[in-house]
Amino acid sequence: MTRELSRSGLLAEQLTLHGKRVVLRPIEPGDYDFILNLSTSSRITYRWRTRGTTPSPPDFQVMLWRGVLCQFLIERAGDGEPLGLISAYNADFRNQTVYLAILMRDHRGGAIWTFDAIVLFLNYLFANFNLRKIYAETSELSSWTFASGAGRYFEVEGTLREHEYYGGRYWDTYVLAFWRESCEALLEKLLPTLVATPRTGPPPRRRTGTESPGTAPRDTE
Amino acid sequence: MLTRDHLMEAIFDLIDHPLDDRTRTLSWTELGVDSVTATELLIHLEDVLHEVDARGIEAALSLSATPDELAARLAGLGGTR
Repeated sequence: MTRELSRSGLLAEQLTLHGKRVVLRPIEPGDYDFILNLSTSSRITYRWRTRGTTPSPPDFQVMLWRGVLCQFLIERAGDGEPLGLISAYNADFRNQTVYLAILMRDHRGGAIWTFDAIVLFLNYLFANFNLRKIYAETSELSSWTFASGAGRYFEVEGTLREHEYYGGRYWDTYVLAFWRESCEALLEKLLPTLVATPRTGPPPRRRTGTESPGTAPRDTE
Repeated sequence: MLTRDHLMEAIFDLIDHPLDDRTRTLSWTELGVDSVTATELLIHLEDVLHEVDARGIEAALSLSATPDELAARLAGLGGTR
């Protein structure tokens, strides 16, 4: 019997969390300190969910999973160094939407790793869930870092004027949308360039609780 | 193998900015290169510089503040002649 796959089906067949430069893997108990430290760091807290607050570690763990559909730790592919967190939250299956958020360490290579992680995650979300579009909220403060993607990778669908206070003034918040159809066309083109080539040899050794997070990453599939 | 001039032309073509002696030493931010354009540039460089290891290209891009610096680093990796 011949089997014909739609573009969605073809992309689902290429589903991977292992990119050339970054790997997405499930969160483990040992990751909470890294995520808490990152999200409360002075350069990041104002633009992430903590917004300047410092929740207690137990409260932080609850907050981290509240409303979450799925989320992964982002690691550097070469050495397993933790880079950040990518999450899908507030899923609305009646209207087939979800929100995406990403938290990344400031690093010279951060811009490229962010792009790679988002591409892998979008493919994961569209393959696993019957979503029409994926929203992301971003502040005017950081939108300049990816402004050239508007109209090509995502649409700017809304502006909340002077929505958020930081540094003595109110800043706009933008609602971005990744539509399935336009994303799938892009993913078809981008995935082969961002995904790691299949490995040969034995599977990577699984990390134990006594090792540092800087050990080799592993496939999560 | 690409010449350094051809590489510079390819970079400026991709970032959609006029190339001259002044612009080749401007910072990426001044040239309007953001995270999306930087990633597109990386993908393009990996595509045209077959002789250079992809991790070397990524490191060269991450460490370079200007197109001139990037071209010099890629030449050092044997990406151009």
